[in-house]
Amino acid sequence: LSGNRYSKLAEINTSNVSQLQLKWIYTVPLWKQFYPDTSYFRENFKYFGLEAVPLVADGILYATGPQQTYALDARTGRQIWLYSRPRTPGIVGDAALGSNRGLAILGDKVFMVTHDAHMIALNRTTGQLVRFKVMPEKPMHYGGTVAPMVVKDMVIGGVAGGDWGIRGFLAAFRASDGKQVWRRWTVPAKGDPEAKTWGGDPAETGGGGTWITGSYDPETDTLYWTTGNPYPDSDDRGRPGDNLYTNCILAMNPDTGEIKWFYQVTPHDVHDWDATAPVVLVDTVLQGQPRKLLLHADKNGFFYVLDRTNGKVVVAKPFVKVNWASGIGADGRPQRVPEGGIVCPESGTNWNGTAFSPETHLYYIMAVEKCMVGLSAGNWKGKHPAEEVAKKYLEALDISDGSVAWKIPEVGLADGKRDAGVLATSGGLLFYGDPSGDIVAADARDGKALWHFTTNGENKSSPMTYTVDGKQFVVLAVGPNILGFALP
Amino acid sequence: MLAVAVPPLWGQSSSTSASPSARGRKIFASRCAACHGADARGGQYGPALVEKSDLRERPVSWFRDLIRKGVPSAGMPPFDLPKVELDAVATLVHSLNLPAAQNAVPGDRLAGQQYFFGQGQCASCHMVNGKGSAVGPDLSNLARDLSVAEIQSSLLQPKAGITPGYESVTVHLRNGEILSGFARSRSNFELVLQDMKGKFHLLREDEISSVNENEPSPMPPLEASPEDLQNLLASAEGTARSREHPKSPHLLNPAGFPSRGSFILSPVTG
Repeated sequence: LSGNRYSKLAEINTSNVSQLQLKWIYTVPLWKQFYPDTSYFRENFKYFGLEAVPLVADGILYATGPQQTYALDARTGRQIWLYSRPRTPGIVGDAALGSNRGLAILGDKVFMVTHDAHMIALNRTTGQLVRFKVMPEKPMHYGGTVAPMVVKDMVIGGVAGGDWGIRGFLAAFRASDGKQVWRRWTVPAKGDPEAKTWGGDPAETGGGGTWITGSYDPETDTLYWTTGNPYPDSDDRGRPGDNLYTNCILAMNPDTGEIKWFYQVTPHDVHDWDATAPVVLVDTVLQGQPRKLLLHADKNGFFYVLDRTNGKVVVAKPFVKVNWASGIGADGRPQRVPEGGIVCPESGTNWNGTAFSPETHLYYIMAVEKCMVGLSAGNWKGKHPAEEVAKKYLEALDISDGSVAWKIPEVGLADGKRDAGVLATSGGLLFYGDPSGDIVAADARDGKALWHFTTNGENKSSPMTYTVDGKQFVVLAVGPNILGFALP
Repeated sequence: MLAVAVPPLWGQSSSTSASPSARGRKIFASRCAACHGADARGGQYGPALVEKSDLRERPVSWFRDLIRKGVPSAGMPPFDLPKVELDAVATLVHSLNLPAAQNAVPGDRLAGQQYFFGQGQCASCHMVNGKGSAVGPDLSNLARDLSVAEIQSSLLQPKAGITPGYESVTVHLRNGEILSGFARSRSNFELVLQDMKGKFHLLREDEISSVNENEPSPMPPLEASPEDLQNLLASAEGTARSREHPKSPHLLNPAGFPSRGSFILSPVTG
């Protein structure tokens, strides 16, 4: 009434105000106004969140969003430039939802894959388009969500759309001029030797997306990349056989795309079990032997430790409830058992970031316990038993035997593409965004939460850490925000 | 200030005298130029009709109605022209504020490109579609964003309109260092300075002794012959066509590939 905007509250005062810290963020879901009112968008935009993991170079943080790239001052998050492309009609799948998982840097350029599967190069100073390259060769339901990867003088990009009908491929382009160096199809053409794994007659749109960034081992000059499910995933009537190279871990010559070896994680998939969980390259002592290993906790519920020189299975064990196979045989193939009405898991992991700590010798993943109604041709309609609610766990896997060393249950919804990942640091810490909107720092030895920060946002990305001006930052995209944390 | 004579904003040679655009120009010259200026940049009695971005969204019908009814309160009389003439002049005035990309700009595009990368030395600071230097603002979208008149003004009077993020500053640091360049990002507490080599310097308030605003633009006014300027404007128009977004780009759409002829240069390879 006096108009005097004065408060007698004095808890925060001159002597302690320097310790005032950001306590929470709420994001106004304004973007909801700008998307089509269809059931697909209604379902998925209830929980929009950035999925990109930023990169930092020369003090500049680069990140991507829906058809956008941001260059920020890594100390302050302040925008230096923003590149934005319009949305284009007709895009389907995750790409239509604005999912984009990051970028790659080489020289004076940053590279991003757009939702319409263009590989674009931006100048790092101006943030403007230098060049674009349409990656597909033919019109299909291609999408783009992957963070491209730089190997030598090439930038490598994959495609999404395996649930909508594409012929999957991975392609390498010369970074300097965009010229294609090689293209590795993940679905054979008629007459290729692999065609016999499709009953001799592979569909032109056989799936096999390449929508998650692989790994590169410079020592053996090997590029590792994973592939997605065959299409259509729940209808296998037209594709008898293993369906190579869907649901595979491919080890390739990075100069040619030639396959050195492959491991098919789920032959003849009918459950949408893309093999697109991370492939983590680790050199460590296992069972008394120094080994070159590849770690992979798959959507199908098994955790695999492979010898990455030859693709042989060293360890394979379920990390969630699995009822579709009794184990992985000596030949590396899953020992399938007859499936009932309920298949476990639905999707034990996904593309989200994982971490192996050489200090604890544990492999950290976000696992989801959930079973699903097994759908196949002929039973799509009719009554199905009710499904349980998905439950998420932070799991630490022992790579020597694949066992779950410990797991921490997470409160909050695990579905809705909330594929948040884990970062481990040599500070003995794990960082991750939990499904209820907190950012958590946990003890890497036992998973005990040591710190948390409430964002109330959707965690769909993985944290990363960097140092600028001698100060360590931990950064994570939550909802439509990118948050940076550091010590005072 | 103007180093050169200002060339026409609209074409004179490409169309026959019977074409609508020629008719529009003729009517403009006889009916409008006396107040609005022969170059539409304003005259003694009427305001400029170019570099008015608020006119960009107006449809042709809005101009037609305005010309027909006039603006008596501002001294503009109604023009009771035959429909065909009204349409022609309304279309012409409407086009004056459209992005350059939506207008046919007369001139030799190829010669304009050569001037951009050669004699004009534009590419020593500016990049177009990935070619040139990244020191100054990228110009790939120029013709999508600016009208011909606006591009012309920015060439002849660079200080008049500075691209946000390219304000020229000199920063004295507490350690004695002096940095000059563009304030690409600035707040009360920090400054991201881009030097003239394209490198970013992340500066915090406590590192900065003073920030001095320089001359608005380090770009010199263009000194070119009217012909070179016209060609440059024509080549700028050409850049925009290459930037058009493919219509169904998840499909392999030929429209996604810029046609070679419409490029100021052709960086898309492979």
